[in-house]
Amino acid sequence: MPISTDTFIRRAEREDLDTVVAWMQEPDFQQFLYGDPARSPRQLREQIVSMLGWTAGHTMPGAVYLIIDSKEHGPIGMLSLQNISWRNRSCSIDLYIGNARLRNGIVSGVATYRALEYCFDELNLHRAAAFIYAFNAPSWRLFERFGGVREIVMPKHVLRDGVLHDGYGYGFLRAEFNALREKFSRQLGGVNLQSMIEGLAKNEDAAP
Amino acid sequence: MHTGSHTVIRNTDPDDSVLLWPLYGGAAPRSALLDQRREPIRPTRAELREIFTKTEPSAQFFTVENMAGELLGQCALRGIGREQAYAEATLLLFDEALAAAAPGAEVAAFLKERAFRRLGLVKLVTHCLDTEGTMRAYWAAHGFVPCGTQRDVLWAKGRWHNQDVLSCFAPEYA
Repeated sequence: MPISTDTFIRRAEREDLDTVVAWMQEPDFQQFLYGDPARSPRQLREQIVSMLGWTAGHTMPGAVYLIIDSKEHGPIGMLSLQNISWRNRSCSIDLYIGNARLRNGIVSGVATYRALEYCFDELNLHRAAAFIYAFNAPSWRLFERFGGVREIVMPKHVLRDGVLHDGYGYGFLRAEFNALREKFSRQLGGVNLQSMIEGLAKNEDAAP
Repeated sequence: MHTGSHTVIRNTDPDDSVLLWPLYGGAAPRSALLDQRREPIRPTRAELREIFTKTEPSAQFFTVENMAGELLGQCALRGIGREQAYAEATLLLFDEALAAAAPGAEVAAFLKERAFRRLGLVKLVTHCLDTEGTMRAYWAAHGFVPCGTQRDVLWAKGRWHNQDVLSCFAPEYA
């Protein structure tokens, strides 16, 4: 049965600032991704303003920060593509679903798919990488379902609460993603960037 | 300054940039000369001097000489982070054959002592491109264990290159 979804990605607006600040202050964000809990709200706000101020509008940005949005739920998470190398046509992906209720299941899956689709179809990248901590099993399982290859295992790599945890490095190559997309084209019939953009355009046209 | 039996290892001075610059300009891709995005670093002499002038806490550069004062190369610890307990070890030699000889062993021992005893790091990480067999063997001979291979990380010389990742723990964490 084809999957359809109203989840889409877009550039972050100034209005998203409070939402993003709140996400980045969550213990889960700092546990699964990065961040120093001691940072003041002002420092965090300044960091985010500089992140949102960079990027996607530039011709060849070094990083792209996007909001994962949904008609049903509103902004649900953030996607950052960092270390973009235009020479190597590669980037690293960080993805965070701020709404904890939506972390498992189709929303996370669609967000990951959107991220990969954006990397390969829009930015014309060859490789996307993700580094995921071993204790974040839902995330690395999701990446494996989308064909990510666990290329490296870094034992005792990250310190959390006084314990050293392993980290996994995943790599997606464009050819592999295309093969996966071909394989699941029937199931993923409703999930592609083109249909997302067409859906947005249709909504804008319909707006008073 | 660290004086061994075969090498003298000391902090790299800005004045070293003139003599070290050829190491940074070779034609073959080297993992020690890739940045975080895995793009080659090709500094000018002036830029190199600036790099060695800065005292950034995240990177430490060391010049390696033989006992006669001749320049053998440069080793470094880079990516030393606040939130992480590891760093990346690198070694650039004018003559890579020295990696398998006594000078290479002294550099490895120096980097480990520096990382584990002085900086209190848990482990060292290093990277080797698929063209760097000599350096891969060097790190493996000094206790670095393979963690896997990242595919197609660098486009150079008309093709994609894979990169091996190796790591070595401080004895108390091994």
